[in-house]
Amino acid sequence: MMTKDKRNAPAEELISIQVVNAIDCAFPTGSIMGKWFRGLKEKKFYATRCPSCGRTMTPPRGCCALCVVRSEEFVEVGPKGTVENYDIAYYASPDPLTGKVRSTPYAAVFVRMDGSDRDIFTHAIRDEDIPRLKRGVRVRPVWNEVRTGSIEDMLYFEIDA
Amino acid sequence: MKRVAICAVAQHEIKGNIWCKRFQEMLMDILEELQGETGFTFGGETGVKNIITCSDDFFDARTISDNAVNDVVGAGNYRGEQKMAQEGLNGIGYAMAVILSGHDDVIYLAGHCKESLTASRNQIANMAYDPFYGRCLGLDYLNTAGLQARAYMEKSRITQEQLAKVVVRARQWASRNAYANEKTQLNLGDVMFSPVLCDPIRSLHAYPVSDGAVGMLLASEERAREFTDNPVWITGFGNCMDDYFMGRRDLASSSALKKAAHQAYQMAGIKKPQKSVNLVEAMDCYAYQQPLWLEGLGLCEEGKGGDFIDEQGPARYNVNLSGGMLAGRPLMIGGLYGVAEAVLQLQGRAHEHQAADANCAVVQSTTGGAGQFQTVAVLER
Amino acid sequence: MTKKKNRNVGIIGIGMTEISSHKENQNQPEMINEAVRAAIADAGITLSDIDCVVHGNMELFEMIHQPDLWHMIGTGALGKPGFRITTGGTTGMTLVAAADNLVASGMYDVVMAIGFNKLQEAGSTTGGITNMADPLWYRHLQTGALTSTSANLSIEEFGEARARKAAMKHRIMMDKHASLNERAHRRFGLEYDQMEDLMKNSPPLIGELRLIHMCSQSDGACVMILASEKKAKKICKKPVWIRDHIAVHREETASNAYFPILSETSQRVAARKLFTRNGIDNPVEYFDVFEMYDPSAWWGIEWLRDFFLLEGDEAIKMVEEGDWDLDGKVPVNPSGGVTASNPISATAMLKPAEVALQMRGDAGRHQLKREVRHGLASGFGGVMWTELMILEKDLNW
Repeated sequence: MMTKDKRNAPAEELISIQVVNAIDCAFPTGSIMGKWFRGLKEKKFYATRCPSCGRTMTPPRGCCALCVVRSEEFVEVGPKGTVENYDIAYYASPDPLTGKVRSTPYAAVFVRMDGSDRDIFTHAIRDEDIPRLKRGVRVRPVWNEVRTGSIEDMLYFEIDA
Repeated sequence: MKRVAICAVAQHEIKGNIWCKRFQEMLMDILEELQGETGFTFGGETGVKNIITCSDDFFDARTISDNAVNDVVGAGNYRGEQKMAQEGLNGIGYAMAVILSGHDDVIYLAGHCKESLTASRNQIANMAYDPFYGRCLGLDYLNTAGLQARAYMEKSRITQEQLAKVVVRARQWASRNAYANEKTQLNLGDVMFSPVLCDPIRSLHAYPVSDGAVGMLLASEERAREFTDNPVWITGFGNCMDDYFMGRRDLASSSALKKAAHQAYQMAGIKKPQKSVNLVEAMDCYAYQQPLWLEGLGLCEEGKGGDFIDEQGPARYNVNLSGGMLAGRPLMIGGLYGVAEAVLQLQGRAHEHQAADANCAVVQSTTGGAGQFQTVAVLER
Repeated sequence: MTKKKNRNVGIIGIGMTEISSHKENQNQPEMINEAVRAAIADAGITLSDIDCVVHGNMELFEMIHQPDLWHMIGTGALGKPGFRITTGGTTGMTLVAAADNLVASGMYDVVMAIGFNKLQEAGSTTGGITNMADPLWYRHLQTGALTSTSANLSIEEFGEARARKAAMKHRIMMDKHASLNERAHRRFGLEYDQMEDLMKNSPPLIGELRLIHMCSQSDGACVMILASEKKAKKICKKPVWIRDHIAVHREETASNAYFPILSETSQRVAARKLFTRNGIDNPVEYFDVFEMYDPSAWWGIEWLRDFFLLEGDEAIKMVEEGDWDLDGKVPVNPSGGVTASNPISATAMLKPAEVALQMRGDAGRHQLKREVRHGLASGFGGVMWTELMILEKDLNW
């Protein structure tokens, strides 16, 4: 085994190989998330409702994790909601899908959508509204003008006041 | 040793690209089918408390790939879940250990793999090699199989015609299996003159890109009858790691498979597999692997794989009546599909591809290039 | 009630590398090999005594698919049975639990569990963690395991000043413990009189979560060797016994799991179930040490309440009164905890490893003065998942 001293000594043969590993992927949405994205295109939030416990799930999930039953009944929630918690990011990590790093600060809000009692939906909040963020504040969605059926169809929430 | 039962199995139909469903939705179908058959529930005193999943972060392009399926396997509501991050047959061995340990007495095991999610499964396999040497050489599971095929075919004097027979037979059986992926019928010439993929492997020697999901319910001997009148028993299990460096391995033989098989047979009390075993599900990703793995399992004499094919060896041992890997199974759960098939056969529920009088099945699977890691389970009625 | 194991299982060997963010001198199999050799030497056995090797990490950090295949160069798995079992952050403890199951089953007598991560090879650990989010919608919103949600709720419950102080006191206490542990990664030599300064000047990451609160990005490997009672007693002078363990997972969508107000935490559920089935009524009284997977000081103070089934401000009060200190009621993280060292897939194995070393009296400079007979260790991972394990010095429960 190496001694402590040897370990700390720089050695010429220590080489680090830098590579970018990328594998092209295609993620099918399935019918449940497909409905969600179609809804966003039409400025609507479609949640699923669990037939057993009755809770809604936003974005929709085809299985209620609590009851482990199929949940394919869609209900519309929102568009407004109440901020239950929030994360203001001063440290930006790279987006693993694109490698891009966002400018800071930005914030994510954890929102209980109107019509959704035991479920939280997360999205960004408008940067200008960050100073006014607190639990309990009301928010509404701001939509992208060009909507293609993706999570980016919604730009962010803004404070509804 | 006490026995562990497989009470029920459910298979998703395998396709080249199940683009209309996420893997979560495929697993939902599996779960409902199994619950319908066995009536099992989650939680409470008698429900399932621990789940074993099988999936892979690379194939799903997700860190902690099991997190994506926790809801739909029943773990999301404060239950335990562990992911078998190798080919799923190892999950059978581990589930067996969990039950024999006394830690739990019922386990829900579910695996999924959608090879179609990524542009190339070979690119993922290339990631299994070290970043300094193997990866830079471009090694993947296809071209290491090519090296192995050449070494083995020379040793066992296997001809292109014999390999074609293996593929033609696989497709014939696949046509009778409702879950099989590739059912197009072939003649020997189709295979023998199909384009070369990685010499000497031809395109029809290789398993097609496959998406699928499998689930099963396992229980202790004491509890199995709560869920089925027709349990299948896991009586033997073994697995073994071979060398990473191919230059240090005899590619024309499989010492890891021999060791894995030895463990499994010993646990099952099988002294002469050629006498006891009457059904085999082997993970033949490439045609040459079927005779090679059968040699490793002790069912075909070493170096006689070619003769074995000509002398109806595969038919004698009811090898891959499902169509096997050659008809298409996803890499991460090829062996798990093998278990599902073997269970249906032993239960007498394989319908159009049912074997006559099978009571002792061997399932084999492999992880890594040229069969580096080998796994064997013995199932009995 | 807990079911009796098929047979008892003891820890007979422990090995770990130094934890650091500079392991340019070792590649992955070499790093693992260092811990494997140390564990085998600790057990006083040879590689041929190992019946089965269990290996785990998270593939997309080092970007190696099925890494046990390459790592066999350093793990010694050639010609041996083995398993690769992973559960995200809890992997390290899952591996120990799996080894326990494998030995208890009677299928293998001696099992070696290997947990590691070489996070420097990942580029960005936070990016790697973010990769766990649903690629269809959550991946561009999540920021790894960095969150202030827990801090926000603590502040609302206990007030800004008290909550911030408690989190910082916990953090400094961890650093004081780490400073005694030569294997710990971050050892800053913090003092309690720096609290005000750190609360103001440590760089903010997310909301109330500052750099000083958060765990580091570390490289390291941990190896544990487990054996059946018969073998353990034959091989080892001081085997430490694994009494019981439990895994508690949550639903996939992190938004809900980040909300203790909506439902119980996995930490509390795990503790309640595990203590109930083992007949432990008063965990504060019962346990002599607790090694907690505390990825941040904010989660640390929140989870102490949950793990010990405390209510209201009981846990915070214990922070304030030094009850979790090395000479307190229940010493927490004599190792320095996860804010000091976090080679993720080894981290949750370092927890029971530290408990076992404390029981054996082999912990070194941070050895507790009291006799350690009953130990608790926790793992954290996935979306707020918990793995919890009880270890015992004597085979008498």
